[in-house]
Amino acid sequence: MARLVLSPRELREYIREHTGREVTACMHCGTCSAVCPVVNFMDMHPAALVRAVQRSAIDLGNLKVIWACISCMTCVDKCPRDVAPGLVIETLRQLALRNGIEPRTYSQMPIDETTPSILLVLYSRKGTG
Amino acid sequence: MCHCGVNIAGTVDVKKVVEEVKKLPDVVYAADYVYLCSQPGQELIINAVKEHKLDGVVVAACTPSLHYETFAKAVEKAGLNRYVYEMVSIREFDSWVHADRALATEKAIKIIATAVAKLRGDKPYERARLDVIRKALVVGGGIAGITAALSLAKMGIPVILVEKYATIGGKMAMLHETFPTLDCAQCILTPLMAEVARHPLVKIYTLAEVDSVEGHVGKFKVKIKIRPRGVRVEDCRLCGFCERVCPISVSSEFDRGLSKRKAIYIPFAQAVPSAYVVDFEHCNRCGLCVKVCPTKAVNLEEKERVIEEEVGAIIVATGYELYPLEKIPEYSYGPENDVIDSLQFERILSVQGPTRGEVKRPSDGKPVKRVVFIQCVGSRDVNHLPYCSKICCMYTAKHALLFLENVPDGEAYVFYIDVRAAGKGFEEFVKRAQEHGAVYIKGRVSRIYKDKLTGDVVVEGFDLLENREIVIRADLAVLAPGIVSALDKRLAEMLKVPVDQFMFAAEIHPKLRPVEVASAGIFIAGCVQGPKDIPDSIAQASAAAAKAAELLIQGYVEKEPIVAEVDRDKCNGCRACVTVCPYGAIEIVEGKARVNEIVCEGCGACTATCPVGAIQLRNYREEQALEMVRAVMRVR
Repeated sequence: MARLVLSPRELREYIREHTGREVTACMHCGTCSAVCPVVNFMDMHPAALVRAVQRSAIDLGNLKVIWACISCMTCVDKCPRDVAPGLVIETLRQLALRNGIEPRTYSQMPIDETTPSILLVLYSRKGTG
Repeated sequence: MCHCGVNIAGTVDVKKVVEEVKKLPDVVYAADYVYLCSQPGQELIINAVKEHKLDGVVVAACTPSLHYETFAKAVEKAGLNRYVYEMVSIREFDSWVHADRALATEKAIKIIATAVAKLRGDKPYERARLDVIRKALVVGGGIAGITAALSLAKMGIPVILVEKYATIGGKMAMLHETFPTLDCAQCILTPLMAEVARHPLVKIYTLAEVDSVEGHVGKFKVKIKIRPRGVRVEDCRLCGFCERVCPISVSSEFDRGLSKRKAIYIPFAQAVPSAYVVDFEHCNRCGLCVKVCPTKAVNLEEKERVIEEEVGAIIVATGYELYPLEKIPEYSYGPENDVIDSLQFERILSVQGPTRGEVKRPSDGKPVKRVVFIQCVGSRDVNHLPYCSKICCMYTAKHALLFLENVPDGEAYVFYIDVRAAGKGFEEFVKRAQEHGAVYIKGRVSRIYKDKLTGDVVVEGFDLLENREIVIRADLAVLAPGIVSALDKRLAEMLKVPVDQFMFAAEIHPKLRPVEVASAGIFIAGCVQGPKDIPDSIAQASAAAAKAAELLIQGYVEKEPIVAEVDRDKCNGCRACVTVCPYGAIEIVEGKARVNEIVCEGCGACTATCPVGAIQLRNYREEQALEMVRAVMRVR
């Protein structure tokens, strides 16, 4: 599985180029994580992800949150500083696909009776980029 | 020409500039000095003027905003008129922004050449002196307005205090106790209210609003609209008979809807003026109050009136409101849902409030055991208010502390983004609230709703430090809404107060002149300038009073003579200048424009607009500008 090595500056610029947003503007308020409907099914909640992206401390190949996000964009709507974590996740997902990282499929995601149906649908769709 | 140490001389070849400038037409004398603003530097100018019988001076140095006045004084000391002196910046506009010595030197020569060209057309003018009416108007009777009015009155200046509501006191009167010392707000405010009311130099108009403002610094003509009170203040004995017989019951503004009041009422016991007031909007004119009043003080036929006052200065202290919580529907704001705002919680804590100080749920009166406070509701959010409202961290800590003291077996949770406790004794105060058991949760709340089955207020959020969702079932949720300016557009335009996009008054200089605005004679105090706490409001109100007093005690203002002038031969009376003038300084007299020199601020908008070049700014005439351009073109 491909491993991406981007400096914090490179990752920040890549995200700015694709979303027009500044990840370093995040003030770590946690609104995104609070409003996220599937936060309990993520390995890293949106606010923590943005924090990690600021330092480029992410291992794209092993990151599950980008496949669990249902792209509802509530966090984008509610973000008080226009950091828009949903768009950051979208960008990371594309970055992963473009670098040959395999999308997580059903077998690689924790699924049980509590898993919402929207996630089951999403798991099968994310691979299409 | 000044070296400004090495600030200028380090980049510009000063000696060469002086040699080149000497060659310019009409230049009799040119010299340089290491620090021209120093005493010997100024002497150099004075001596040169006298020795060479100069009739104009150009100073090339730092920026005019720093030392224009310094050299103007020197020029006047040498016996010249200050308006035949020009100062140009070769530091900010040249040496500081360039690295190439040759180019910077050439630019300095060009800059000075333009000034010399302009100076040739400059004429001497005298400043006009305007008398100032020794009287001030204070708009807003909250703690800032009261402080400013009292301060001016104590300096011997008569003050008119205009308040929109039936009593002065403002928001502070609603508060229970104040951070960080927990002084009772009423105990420290009401003596001031009484003092301002009985001061012989202060005239208070309640139920009053500014209707129009005309004139200028030193002489403002203000019309004040006074709504009828329906009760003669001097006859009212506060017996309360009227209130008891009144059949109309409406929600109380003072208790922010948490209690009822009658259509004839007193906002609170210590209200100033100390009298009942008729709410004509809800009164059905049944006349019962008129019949029972033992002193015949009630008059339901009273009409609105407009009075006129002349003042020399105006202090604007219109205060704040809370951000409208209907704009954040996910928090289900409303006493019926047991989700209240911070001022409502102040009323609940207050011993004079709707629950006599017992913390009970507004919906059903159940004693509150678990309360959740949510900070930054609307504040620090680009979707609502991008700014920090400054006081919420502190009053939330106060609320949590007072609640835990009031309800020893209670639980208090505070959702926060950052705790901003910058102020004397503030950090210690937050620590005190936390030591009392307030649990601070770093994170945001996504939604609040009333569980209709259990009656609980359910607060859902995310705890960033525990890394998981958190759901608290509470009895009460208290929101800390952002602070918004209470100034409206019409009033701001009338008072000529420049505002920012949030209707906060824009001070003329954020550091050096924090209580003055661009319109002369207008001062600002309190939350009209931005969110601030009581000590800051009082400090600013005292400063505004001192600044207004500077003007009023001096008794006159000097007016810059650099104003627009009309060439009546050229003017065709098209009124373009009248429309464009932001100060209303131009009128058409006998078919031609005429400038009111007192009102004109010399902005030049009319000059740029005039289609026939008939209106010109003194010493900034069109031919002078052309000469300046020619001068630049000539220098190589």
